[in-house]
Amino acid sequence: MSIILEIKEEIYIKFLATFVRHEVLLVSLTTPVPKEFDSAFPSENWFFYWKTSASLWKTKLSEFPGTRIVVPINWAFHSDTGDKFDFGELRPETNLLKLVQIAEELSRELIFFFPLGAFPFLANGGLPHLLAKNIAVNGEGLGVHVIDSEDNLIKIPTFFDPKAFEAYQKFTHAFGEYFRTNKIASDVWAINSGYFSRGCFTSYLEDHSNVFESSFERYLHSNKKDKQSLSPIEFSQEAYEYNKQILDLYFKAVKESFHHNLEGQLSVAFIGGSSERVLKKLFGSMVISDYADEVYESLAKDIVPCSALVPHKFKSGVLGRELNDLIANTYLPLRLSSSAYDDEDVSFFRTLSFFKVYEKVDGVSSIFQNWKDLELWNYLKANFGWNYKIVSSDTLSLHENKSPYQDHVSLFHGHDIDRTIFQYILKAFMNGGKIILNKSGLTDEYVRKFETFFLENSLNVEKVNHLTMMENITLGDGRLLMFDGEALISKEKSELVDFWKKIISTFDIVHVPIENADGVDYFWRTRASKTSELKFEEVRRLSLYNSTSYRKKIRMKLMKNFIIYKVLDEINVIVQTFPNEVEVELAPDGSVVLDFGVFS
Amino acid sequence: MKEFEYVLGIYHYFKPFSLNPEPPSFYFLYFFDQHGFLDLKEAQDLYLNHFKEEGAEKALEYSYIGPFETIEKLNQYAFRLCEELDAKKINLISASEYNSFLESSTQATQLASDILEKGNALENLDKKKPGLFKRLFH
Repeated sequence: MSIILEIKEEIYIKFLATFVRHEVLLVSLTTPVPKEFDSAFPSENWFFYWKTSASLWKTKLSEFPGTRIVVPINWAFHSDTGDKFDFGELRPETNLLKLVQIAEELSRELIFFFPLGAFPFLANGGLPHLLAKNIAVNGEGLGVHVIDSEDNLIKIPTFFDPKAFEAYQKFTHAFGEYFRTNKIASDVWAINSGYFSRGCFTSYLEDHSNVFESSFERYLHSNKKDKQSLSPIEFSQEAYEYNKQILDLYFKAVKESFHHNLEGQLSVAFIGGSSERVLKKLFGSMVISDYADEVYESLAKDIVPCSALVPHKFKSGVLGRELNDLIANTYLPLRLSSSAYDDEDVSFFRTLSFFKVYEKVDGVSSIFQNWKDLELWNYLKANFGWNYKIVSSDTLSLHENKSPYQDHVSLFHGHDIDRTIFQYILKAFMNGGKIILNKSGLTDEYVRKFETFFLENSLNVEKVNHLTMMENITLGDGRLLMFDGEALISKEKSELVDFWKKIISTFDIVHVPIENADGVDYFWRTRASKTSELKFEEVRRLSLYNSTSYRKKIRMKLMKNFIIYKVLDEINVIVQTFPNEVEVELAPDGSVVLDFGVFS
Repeated sequence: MKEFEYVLGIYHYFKPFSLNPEPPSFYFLYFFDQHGFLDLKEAQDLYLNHFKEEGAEKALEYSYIGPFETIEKLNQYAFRLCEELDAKKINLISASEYNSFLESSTQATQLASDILEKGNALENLDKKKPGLFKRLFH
């Protein structure tokens, strides 16, 4: 058998060599593949310690293919009532010290995920049942609920109940004490669980129930404000602030209890966890692309996706491979590393972003001109797939350092410019960054500040009129392009897409465009070249997944500084390489990974 | 042509866009048929042509159908939609009814059957039973 394979491989390499000038290596399955479904390991590196006997922990962890294991904390499993806690005294499965010791013995690292409110895969969101009295209600008036991977209905209670918060404080305190007493040094992340609804991340903590309403009214009253006299904008701002304060309150409780272990706060989006998806699940009409779209949406927003609610049958094919390649083996390890974006480990692929688009999240910014109005998302998705980041004030710090082999364009709205963003723009521009600024909503104060900056630095402002007035400023490699978004309001969608096409083409982005990719998920990653690859400056990895039930043929025209370098993990696919072109034919459920060497 | 066994509509009386000055109204949040989410094109056209009220465009952007000033108007629309789609019946469920089914269910299948069986059903009496020919070839 192996001889046949070797011969086949040899013929294939010879076949490719007739077309390709540079060598193409054929390697198979480079990324660790998870074993058969195990309810204790339901999703990307997450271990549910309560789903298996403590006597099996060692076997389970030793079979785990990676080294970093995420352990979410199941509050109700440690306390039935919310008053007394079990850490191994009654049930051996609550003995987390033993779990940590086993992991150390097996050279595995445990990372604890502590819920800020609910974990939607647990009954009552993890709240001890005596405290789970009122279901939270979403913005559409529907009770917040999910369907787990085993078809159970999980109702998420409101965490605005003062009794729930009191009990939470007791639990965090007891848990922190348990960690300190037993000298457990594992990292702890405070997790804000949520879901994607209509493209927006919503926390399971968010609530519109009567419990929330009455506590919100008390909050307004304490701030000497009357609900009836607030304008819609003021009301939205107040509601946003109040929700944020409650989340901060839960976070503060975790912070005070975990001192040295706490790494920070992390948002996790549970795929398929919105009411729209729940209803679709109820009527059996979910398809793989529904789940896959949320995975990519999470990556774009720097929110960790989790597939714990996705039934296993959906993860046995192409979706499972996407989750394994992009989340378990790329995004999650990077996000959990404290130096995620500074880490220069050259063997590690990280997500590639050609654009970083800033969107303020404050409950009212949506009334101003947004990127959707300007057709930016449609343009980016059609030309760059999901390889862009949507940056908010929460994730801005992750993007401060520019990676040497990952050039990108940052986009901002004038109405989002405050002191922090203004300084961020100037710093990026002076360090050779590329910025596009929509001047719509820019206050007079910042108009003057930009003008002063240009004058003080004797910068030449070139003006061009194309659909709107554009101003172009350069400084070394740095470039700032400003345009007046107000003049684009009346333009047709096709004109707006054309507008983006024209201005983005002036930024000379080094990229391989993909044709006919409708229905095919694709994602680019990048790493620096290793010492054995010095002919390249960078290695880019393209993963292609066909989640449709049709054959898909896609073509890529290679720029002169790209060569195809490796073809990996081929499943139901035919890859043909021609001079300056690659053709990939993906059968249903097919996928492939292509590595490209990039040189100048 | 697509055959509709039933159409199910979930609605709520609320103010979906808190930043807008309009008062609360009735809105359809979701429509289903036996295959899953209903293709909203016909439902949207029917609303825009015969039932349109101020604030409709914003609602349609979010895939809501509305606003309807009164529950009667919402019912009239639902019945008309049932006729247009030639569906046997349209089942209407308010968000609060949905929540009470949710409260009493523990399994997803139980919630699904409650929604289908216990809603407020409007029968399309004009919908004729298929003849022998139609039954044989569909």
